[in-house]
Amino acid sequence: MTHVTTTPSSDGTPVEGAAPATLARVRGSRAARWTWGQLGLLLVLAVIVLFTVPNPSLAIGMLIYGLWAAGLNLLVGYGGLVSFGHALPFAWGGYAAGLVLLHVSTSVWLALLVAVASMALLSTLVGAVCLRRTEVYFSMLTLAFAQLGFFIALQWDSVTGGDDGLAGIPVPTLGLGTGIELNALRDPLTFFLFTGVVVLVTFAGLILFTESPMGRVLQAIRENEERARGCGYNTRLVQLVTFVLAGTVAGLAGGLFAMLNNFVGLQPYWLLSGVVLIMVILGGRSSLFGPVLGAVVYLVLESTLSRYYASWQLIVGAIFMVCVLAFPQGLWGLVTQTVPGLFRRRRSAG
Amino acid sequence: MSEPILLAEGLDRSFGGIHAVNDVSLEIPEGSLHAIIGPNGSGKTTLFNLITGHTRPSAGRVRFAGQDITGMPYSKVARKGLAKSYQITTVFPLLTVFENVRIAAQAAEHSYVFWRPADRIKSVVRHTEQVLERIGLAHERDTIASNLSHGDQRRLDLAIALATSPRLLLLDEPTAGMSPTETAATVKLVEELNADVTILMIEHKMDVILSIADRITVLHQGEKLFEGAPAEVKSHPRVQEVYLTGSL
Ligand SMILES: Nc1ncnc2c1ncn2[C@@H]1O[C@H](COP(=O)(O)OP(=O)(O)OP(=O)(O)O)[C@@H](O)[C@H]1O
Ligand SMILES: [Mg+2]
Repeated sequence: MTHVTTTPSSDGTPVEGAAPATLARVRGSRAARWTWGQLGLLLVLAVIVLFTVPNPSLAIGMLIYGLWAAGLNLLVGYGGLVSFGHALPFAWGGYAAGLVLLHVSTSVWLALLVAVASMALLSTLVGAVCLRRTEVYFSMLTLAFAQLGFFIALQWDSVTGGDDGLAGIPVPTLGLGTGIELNALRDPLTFFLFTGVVVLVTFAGLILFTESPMGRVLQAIRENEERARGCGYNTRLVQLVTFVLAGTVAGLAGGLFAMLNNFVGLQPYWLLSGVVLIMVILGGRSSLFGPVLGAVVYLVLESTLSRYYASWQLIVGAIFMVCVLAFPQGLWGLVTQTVPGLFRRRRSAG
Repeated sequence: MSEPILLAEGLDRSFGGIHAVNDVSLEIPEGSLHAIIGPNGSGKTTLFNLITGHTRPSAGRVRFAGQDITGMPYSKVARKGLAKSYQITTVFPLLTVFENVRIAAQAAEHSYVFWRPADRIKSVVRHTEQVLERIGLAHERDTIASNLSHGDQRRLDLAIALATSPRLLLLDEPTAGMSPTETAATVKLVEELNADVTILMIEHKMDVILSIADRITVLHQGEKLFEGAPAEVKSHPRVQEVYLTGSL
């Protein structure tokens, strides 16, 4: 169940569903431009969000969730490793940033640095355990760790605030002699732009990773681990690096989310493992941009439907099911497949 | 005389009641083309697996390029310069032919680089193109591996092994399931490759191997039945009995 099987079409063009590298490589170096083009797509999407989403907190949330989902897709789409516990690094990042802001300093840089660095360390340990297994057993181990984290956060209330969480997290400051505060309520535009820059830069790093020799090996391992070993690769090491990278990105996203809400708690942080996975699948696993699109679409659905229906989750669930059945390659996969003309023009332009 | 590139001594392995490999020793001098033949289930693939570290031998040692590699994990053995192609085609199915080979080609020097795009590493791209040219898959470079014909997939399997620039190439029935024309082409290719790399190959088709091998080892029920030059193998009465008459 961790694999949605896709068969390449008979004419030799790849099917979007399962093979990110395939798409990038299939027409030589020219298509590789499109890989970097994802950065442009993200920029365009961010601008659209900025001008069309009336609720600034929601707009900023879209960027944060988008980054989180894109990072998760390193594991899911590129690595074939489905994590059921990606709330753990997100929540950890939130608590870490929140605690720094509350007790140490209001510097946004320090808070994010601690969130990212501590998460990298934790991911290494968690990943070393989870990656002892593959397929559904890997998924179960990630889920178990997220559950463990939830209960620690619940029980250890002297640090985490337990059930109440950490409220009243101070507004972070940008420092560097600017005097700029990241206040989502009073100055949402600054917060949006700051988040946008962080997300774009991180996203560029993710693209570089997927195009690098190591990122390519990750995809080769997904295709055939035995053969990757036969080429001399330490496949566990490559997967562990990916696990840490995905966890670190999630930690960063969680830290930003804590600043956005000035709050960290059990809800919603620890309950989002399924949601972020839905965003990835909805948007499409074969690119980094797909999950960002999935996050935006999911949040649009959520915010619209929840206004009219108390049981909006039912509707989102139904939509998700239809999507998975009708186009397992996800929304972005659907776009790139059904509008090939668009891409041919792009390619020859590139 | 210098030490052989591969030296296997008294390799042994059982599965349940089956003694798959029974006290087999091999000595492969650098540059040679050594063949292993034997009926189905005689332990040929298992012998390969004992050499590459897939399966731990219950007894015996393996030395490769002057180093003891017994019990070393497969990926580490591969890094030492020992590459294998598979009896059952094993490639990266949804990647392009080019990417399949490029992955192997980058392994030597650029395995874990993550700060620059893979396609920009010119030496790897060039090496990949050379391997594709040599194997005769250059015209298929952008094809998704799983869309290749059976024969081409077999050759891609071999290309991946070759692209790691090994010192010793193990080929497990490279012509399995190939048509006579494809078989002939592959045999010719193997013979050409042998100019640069030592080859140890399992082959089922007797006629194929007699013409190109320097030396042949005959396995029968896990044991080494005979070893010698092709002409000797051909005329050896026991080999005739268990192998030639039975399976061809
Ligand atoms: N992993 C395993 N578990 C149990 N039995 C095994 C295993 N691997 C091989 N065997 C058994 O060992 C014997 C030798 O098998 P092996 O695959 O080495 O033969 P082979 O000479 O390669 O045959 P073929 O020509 O069919 O490829 C067979 O009886 C096989 O069933
Ligand atoms: Mg065999």
